[in-house]
Amino acid sequence: MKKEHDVQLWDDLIKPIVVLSSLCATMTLALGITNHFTSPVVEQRNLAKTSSLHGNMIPGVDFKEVLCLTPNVTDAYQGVNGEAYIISATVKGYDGPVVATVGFDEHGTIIAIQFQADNETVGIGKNILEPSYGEQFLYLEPRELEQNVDIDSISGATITSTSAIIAVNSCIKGYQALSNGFTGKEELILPEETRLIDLPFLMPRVEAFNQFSLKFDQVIDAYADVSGSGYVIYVRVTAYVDDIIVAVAVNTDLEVSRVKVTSQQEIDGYGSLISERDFLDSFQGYSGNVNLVDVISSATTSSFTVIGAVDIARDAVASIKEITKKDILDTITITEENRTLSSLEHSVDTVSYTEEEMETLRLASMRQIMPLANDYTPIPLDMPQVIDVFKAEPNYGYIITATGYGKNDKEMTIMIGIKESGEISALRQFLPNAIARDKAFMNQTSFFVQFFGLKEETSTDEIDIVSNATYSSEAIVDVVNVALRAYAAITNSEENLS
Amino acid sequence: MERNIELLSNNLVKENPVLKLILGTCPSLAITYTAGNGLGLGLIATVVLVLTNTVVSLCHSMIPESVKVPCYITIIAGFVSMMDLITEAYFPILNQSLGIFLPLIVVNCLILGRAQDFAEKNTVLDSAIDGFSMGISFTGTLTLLGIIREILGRGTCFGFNVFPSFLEPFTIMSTAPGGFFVFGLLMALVSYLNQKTNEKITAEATEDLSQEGSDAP
Repeated sequence: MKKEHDVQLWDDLIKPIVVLSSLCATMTLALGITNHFTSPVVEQRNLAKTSSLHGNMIPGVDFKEVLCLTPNVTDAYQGVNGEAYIISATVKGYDGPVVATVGFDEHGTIIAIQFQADNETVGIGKNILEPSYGEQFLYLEPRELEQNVDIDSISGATITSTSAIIAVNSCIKGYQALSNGFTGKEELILPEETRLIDLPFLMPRVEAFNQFSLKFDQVIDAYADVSGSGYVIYVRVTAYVDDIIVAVAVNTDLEVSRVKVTSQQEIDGYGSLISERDFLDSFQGYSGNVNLVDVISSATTSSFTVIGAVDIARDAVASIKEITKKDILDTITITEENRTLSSLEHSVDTVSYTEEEMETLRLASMRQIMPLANDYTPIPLDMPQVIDVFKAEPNYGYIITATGYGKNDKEMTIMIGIKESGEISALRQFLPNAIARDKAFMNQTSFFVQFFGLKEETSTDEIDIVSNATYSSEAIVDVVNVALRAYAAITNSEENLS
Repeated sequence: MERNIELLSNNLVKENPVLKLILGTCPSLAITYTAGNGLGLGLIATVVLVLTNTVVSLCHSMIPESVKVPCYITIIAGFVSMMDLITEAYFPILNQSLGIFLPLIVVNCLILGRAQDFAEKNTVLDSAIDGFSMGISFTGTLTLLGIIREILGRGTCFGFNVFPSFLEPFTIMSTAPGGFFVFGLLMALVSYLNQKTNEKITAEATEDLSQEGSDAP
């Protein structure tokens, strides 16, 4: 009976297990042996294929593999002397992967391109393999390419064409990162000195900041004005090429006053424009209305990344309830040296105008303020807010250009003429920056006239301010006082000299 | 010997796996947009068929009924994977152009069908011949499908230009609908020929019978 039971157990349970297991083991062994013989052949062929591909694409250059972590990039090779790059990226096409292999010369120009689209439909998607399609990419600069703007897509194969463009754009991003010495996902470190230059620019009227710990996603650093007027938040976000760091000054009403992109590797002449003041100044007064921001037309991804970073900073500030002593990491006092360095670093003229243009503009403005002068000689003066001082020869007086800060720290650069006698003779807006947007001032010459003949420092109590423009009026009064102080300093030193 | 030849010819024509038994239709339609693909897939399937039939015929007595199908599938999968590795190493273009349809030979019902219907009931030699003849028949049909579709769809045959330059190829023949169209036409042709042959045989038989009848005293 027991024997019968054992036989049944063997037949029903153990035998099937043993047979199936041994069969699996045998087949695995056979597969292992086959693989042992075939894998070296495949490996060697792939190696030969890569080197012949590189040789065909950019002849005469020896390549070495480099690490590139840019999304979609699968392989990256750099010429041993850094003279060229070959980067491959893979993107999902209509029915399988679409691979773009792009060769860049030392200037980043696309000099060779190859596509692979094994699974795309013959006669439709596979047409990206036609030389006429690939040739469209040749000799283009390394910037974000757009379908049907830079490259004509293949009719009937929109998905494959889009994948091809995305793949090429990924290669371009990879090139940007590699040529800038990044792997595409480098750690960004901000040196302490950078912040000492950023902070006086971001909140010019603040004397000291408390660095505090703020736990908010993507916020890497946070500073609060010790008097509690606002915050500077550093946000790290991923832009088009790589991560960027954006510093945002936000007041307690969640209004943005200034924004600075402190670190970026975006594409030169396109995404890199996010660092320009023209773009960043449009954030002044930003409180969530995206329509008011001037998005850079050829760099929408980068622009919207900055907008996103500013929104994160505003959300981060909104999340702050109370900063306890425990949260404060450090207190930073802004010295005069920091301010001078900061104003040098952020001086408006270097951004919007070339030096020549600036010179012409300055001369034209000075002619309007003191038209009778034969010549204008620059006088060195190191004073906060003062941009430059010129002496109107012979003995007409001085022309002082100084900067004040209006609402949301909008810069207002004013040129002031002070006669030999010490009286203010003329006052005009120098640069078409913030003040130009304050329509109130444009029609209120009566406001400027109040300062004419003034010798002593004044205050808003004595001057009729422009209604609805309290901040800007205060800023101009402040600039006038700065100019008068500058005048006093110059005359004092001249007396001392004589 | 005579039996083997009969088996071979029977499988090649009368029991054509694709057009008569309608087995393995999926890869047949998917990859036969070129003749080369059809020939390649057919030959790989032939090797797998011969090996599977031989091994199944050798081992079927040892395999318990309860794990028969898993065992057969394991054997087929093993051989298909081996062919995948071999083609990847030595015929990379074919391997790439067959893509997923090469590993999918595992689930081709022709192979499992022959293992179950023939190999486990016959001798090793018969099974090997059956696998070979079925495979050749499969290959022939796939190649024929491929030749027609490649000529019409691309204007080439095995990569050589055969279409007059003033004619545009019918791209639709390279796509799935074109595949179905040619497949349907070939099936109709085979059915027609079969019917004709059957009619002829019946007519001859009837004639023989009637002659026998008239000869009767």
